[in-house]
Amino acid sequence: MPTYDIFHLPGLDWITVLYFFFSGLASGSFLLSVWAGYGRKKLRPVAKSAAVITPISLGIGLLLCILHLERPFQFWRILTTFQPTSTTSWGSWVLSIFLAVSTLYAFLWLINRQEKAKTLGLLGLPLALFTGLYTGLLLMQMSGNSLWDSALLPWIFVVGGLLTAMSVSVLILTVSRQEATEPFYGLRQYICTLIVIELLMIFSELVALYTGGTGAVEIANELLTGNLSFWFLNLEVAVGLVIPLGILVVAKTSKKAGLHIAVSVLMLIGILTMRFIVVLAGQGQI
Amino acid sequence: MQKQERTNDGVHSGEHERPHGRRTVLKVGAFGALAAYAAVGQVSGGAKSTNKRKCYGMVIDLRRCIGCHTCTVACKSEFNVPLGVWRAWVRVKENGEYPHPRRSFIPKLCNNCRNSPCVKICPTGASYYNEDGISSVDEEKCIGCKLCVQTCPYEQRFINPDKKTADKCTLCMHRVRKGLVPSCVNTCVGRARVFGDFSDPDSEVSELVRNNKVSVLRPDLGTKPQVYYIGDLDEQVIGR
Repeated sequence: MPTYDIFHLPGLDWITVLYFFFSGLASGSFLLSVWAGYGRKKLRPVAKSAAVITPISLGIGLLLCILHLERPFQFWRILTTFQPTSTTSWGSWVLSIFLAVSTLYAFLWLINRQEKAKTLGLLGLPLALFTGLYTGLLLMQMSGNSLWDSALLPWIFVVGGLLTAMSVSVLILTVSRQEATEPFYGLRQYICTLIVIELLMIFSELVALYTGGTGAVEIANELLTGNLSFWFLNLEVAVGLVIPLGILVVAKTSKKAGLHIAVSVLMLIGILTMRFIVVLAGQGQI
Repeated sequence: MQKQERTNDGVHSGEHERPHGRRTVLKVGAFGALAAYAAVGQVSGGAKSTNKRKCYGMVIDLRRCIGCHTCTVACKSEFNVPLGVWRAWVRVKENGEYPHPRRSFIPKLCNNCRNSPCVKICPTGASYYNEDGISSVDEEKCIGCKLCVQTCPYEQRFINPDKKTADKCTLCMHRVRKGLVPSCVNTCVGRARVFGDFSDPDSEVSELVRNNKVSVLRPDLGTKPQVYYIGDLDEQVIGR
């Protein structure tokens, strides 16, 4: 039966999606860089490239966030106050501090002060983790949306951010013709593990939606059989996660640049689609 | 004491819990004659007390709405609301099948929630409860982040295309402070919209909520909305 109602323009749009993508990349890059910095020596190139990616992507993300405002030149007002009930107020402060810390961290890597960089990295870990969680927490605070009202969502975003960071690092190292001593610069098994974790979390999320209330079941049906099934099943799950996992498992020892690029691009397509689905489909926009 | 008993017994006729704990006041009153006297004073004259927080809201009798959209137009002209956005409107739903088609109407406005998601999510403090307890927007502080627009489960907030800030229904506080009713209530031909102060147990809205089965929109979200509907929100039928 037709219903005639007023719907105002939604608050979150594709700029928000890109902002989420870039802040996820920043968070993942920092976590990856700190971990790789303390890891085996072969991971050092990864640590360095990820360190440089962090402030750049966070800068792009914050710039997009400011552009998304209706009054962009008033953005400073957000940093003149602190509102404890608003996740965005927390996010603005933490992300601003994280931008400063990650810039210093990247600088230390570039001038080869590795020991200092590693110490600063440990201090920055909580900031990076919060940045990864924050976009999910923000969506959780929105009322009345079953897709967003999920405790797993922030963690799906964190793992998504880590996968993005690994893809971008591999891409940059490959394109800059850095020689790979190991497949995927030593990241192969870790990418596999994270993909499996991401798939398991998505599966849990689907079960939660499918056994939830009316709104939740509607979204689950949209994702599995409705308008969103192409985006969700084909792009997010198949192209973004399952096919890269298959390639990584089958081509165990290959260090070919083409393979590196293919897997990274596929994963990036998948993660970007995931953010689009969560943000826009969560409001019934697609 | 009659008033006291009636208030105590019959407040919860709706499925939504009312925010103001009159019962607490009454329990205290039961401990002694002096206290009881004070409590009666509170009940009869509570709303007139300047210190008491007001709780403005509306009762909308869906059985009386004929879908004329006069409230929508009155609101538009009262505030010169720009094209494409609305502060108050009427949702129209078509029900039934030929040869018995029918339409039902749900007038909408800001629900003046006591637990407003829009105020909580605001990162600059631009969304706040004003001195009348209405969730409002400080246009100076608003940066237009649109989070309140997204989070309001009642679609009540929007970005004003002229001001570039969040905007919403204010329950016509500029009129109410002068002793008038909101513009949409003033023009309602069927007297479907009734405005008042729920903190005053003698107000018409309090009486209506006590004596009718009422419901609110999205009670599951815990927003404590102050717009109560009389009649079935899903299947209300008019002009059969």
